[in-house]
Amino acid sequence: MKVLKAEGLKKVYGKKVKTVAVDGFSYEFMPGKSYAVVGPSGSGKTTLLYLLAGIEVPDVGRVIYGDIALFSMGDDGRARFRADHFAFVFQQFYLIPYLSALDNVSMGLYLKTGKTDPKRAREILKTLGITDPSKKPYEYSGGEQQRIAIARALITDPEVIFADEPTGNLDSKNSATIFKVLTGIAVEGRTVIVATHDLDLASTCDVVLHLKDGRLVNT
Amino acid sequence: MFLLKVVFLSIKHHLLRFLLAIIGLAISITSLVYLMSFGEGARSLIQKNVRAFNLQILVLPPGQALSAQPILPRQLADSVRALGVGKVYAVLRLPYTGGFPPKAVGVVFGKDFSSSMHFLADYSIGKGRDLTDSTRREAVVGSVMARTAGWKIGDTVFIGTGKYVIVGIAKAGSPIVDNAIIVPLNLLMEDMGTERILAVAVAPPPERSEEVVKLLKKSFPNYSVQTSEDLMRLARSFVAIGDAIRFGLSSIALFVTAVFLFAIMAITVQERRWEFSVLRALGATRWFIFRLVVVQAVAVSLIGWAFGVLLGWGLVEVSGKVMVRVFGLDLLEMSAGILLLSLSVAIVVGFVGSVLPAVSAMRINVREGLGR
Ligand SMILES: Nc1ncnc2c1ncn2[C@@H]1O[C@H](COP(=O)(O)OP(=O)(O)OP(=O)(O)O)[C@@H](O)[C@H]1O
Ligand SMILES: [Mg+2]
Repeated sequence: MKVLKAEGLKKVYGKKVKTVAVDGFSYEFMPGKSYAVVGPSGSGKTTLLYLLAGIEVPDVGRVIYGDIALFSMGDDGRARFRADHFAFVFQQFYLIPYLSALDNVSMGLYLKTGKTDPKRAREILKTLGITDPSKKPYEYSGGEQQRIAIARALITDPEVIFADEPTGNLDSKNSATIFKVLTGIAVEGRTVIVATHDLDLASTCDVVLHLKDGRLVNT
Repeated sequence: MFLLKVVFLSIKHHLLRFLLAIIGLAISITSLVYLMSFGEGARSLIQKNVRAFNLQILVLPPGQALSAQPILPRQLADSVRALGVGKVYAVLRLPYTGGFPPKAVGVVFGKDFSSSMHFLADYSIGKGRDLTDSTRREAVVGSVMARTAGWKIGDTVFIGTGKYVIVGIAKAGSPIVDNAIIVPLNLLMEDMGTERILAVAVAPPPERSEEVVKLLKKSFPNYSVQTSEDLMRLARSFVAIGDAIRFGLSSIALFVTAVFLFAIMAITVQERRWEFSVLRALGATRWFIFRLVVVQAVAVSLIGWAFGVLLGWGLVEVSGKVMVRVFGLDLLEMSAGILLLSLSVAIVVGFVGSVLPAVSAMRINVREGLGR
């Protein structure tokens, strides 16, 4: 059982005017649990997710996954580590526009293994309700696009899934579906960390973390 | 394979933009192929020309390659023969243009009846008969000459002041034979109003050729003795200089294309920052992103190359045909060398045009690329 541990994370942006985006964040994320990170705009949710995923480098503090300190690795080392263990879902879906849904999902696996597995990609898409994966992203609805993005995340069989406001561009019905999918993934033994504005949806997660000015205020 | 698919789909997605680069490349590769084919054609023409003659060694006027004017005494051939160095042939030729407007273009060769070999390689009679007597005003003509001039056996050919009856048509062979008119040497000298010849050709027994070259050089210190290899080497070095100049010319177009490709790739990278950032967030290394950009540019170059080669090749074929009509010889030739050269040039252009954009792509800050 690998634990994702944040130790005193601090991230400051700006040269002249300094913004403390994340300020002394410490926490242990457990496998099999879903976490919602909530807080007002600018409270540091996105920054925190990027730090935990090893995309952004903290000014102070460490992120340890299992027994590996993420920032003891270089940029490309962390990229490979992400491909092996983590996955990311974005508010804007960020599907590659010229690839079909199937190829978008395949890309997820290709980045990890250098291979593709169209059969498995199809299966995962099907369980998420995408039955015709041959279309280009713009031919799907927003809710479908986000489910394709989740399929792209899941095909690598990730241990930790980060989702930054995955329902920010969706209506309430689609949002509820996406949250159901995400919390369902956690039950399979993965760690799911979702940043969101929506407190109702956040409450469907196992744990809700409140951020304010980059600090964890209460859980 | 998947990577290539992604690259091609991405090219297709931005086709209009890449089309410009592809057209640019196609044009510069076309010009490269076309210009280089001149050198290749000249090289193979030299080879064919030298092979078309039964000679290994030429005795020439001092310090000269084959000149246009006959300045060697006829007796030189006899003096060379007296050395017992193999078969010896007195060479005299005259450019021929016939018809009005001129369409039959060829070369008149004098047949040296005192020699036991024929100067032209793969010369044989196709129709009629060969020349039999050094005093009879008879001619054998090449098959292409006969066709273009509309000559038949029994027709009369006018060469300078002389008049010859065609008694034979040579069997199709080398371009030299096909475009030749062969008449007796002494009659040709008479018609040209000269007592002199162009060169003395020597064909020694193969095992004696080195020794014969030495002997000839010693015996005729006032003349230049050259082997067919010397001649080829000399001619090739002229062609090589031409090659360098033509390559220089086409590299201007290629340089412009590389700059063009660079601009297009730079725009593309700028526009796809978010795409590369997403891939990075999902676990792509910086090296992967670098490769993605370079492979795309090289793929664009290769598409351009393919079109350019096809276009250039077509142009070479067509203008070769025109040249044969107009000058009677084809100076243009495609070769594996040109294909390889243009291919590597295309790859280099793709690489040069994309390295800097690729570096900037791999350095994208993921967070900024994704937008806050
Ligand atoms: N590259 C940057 N340069 C300067 N300031 C930055 C940068 N990125 C983030 N910030 C600042 O850091 C703070 C935290 O930003 P962050 O995006 O993490 O907030 P958030 O909670 O995700 O907000 P939202 O709910 O609007 O997405 C904000 O004040 C933001 O302006
Ligand atoms: Mg945010």
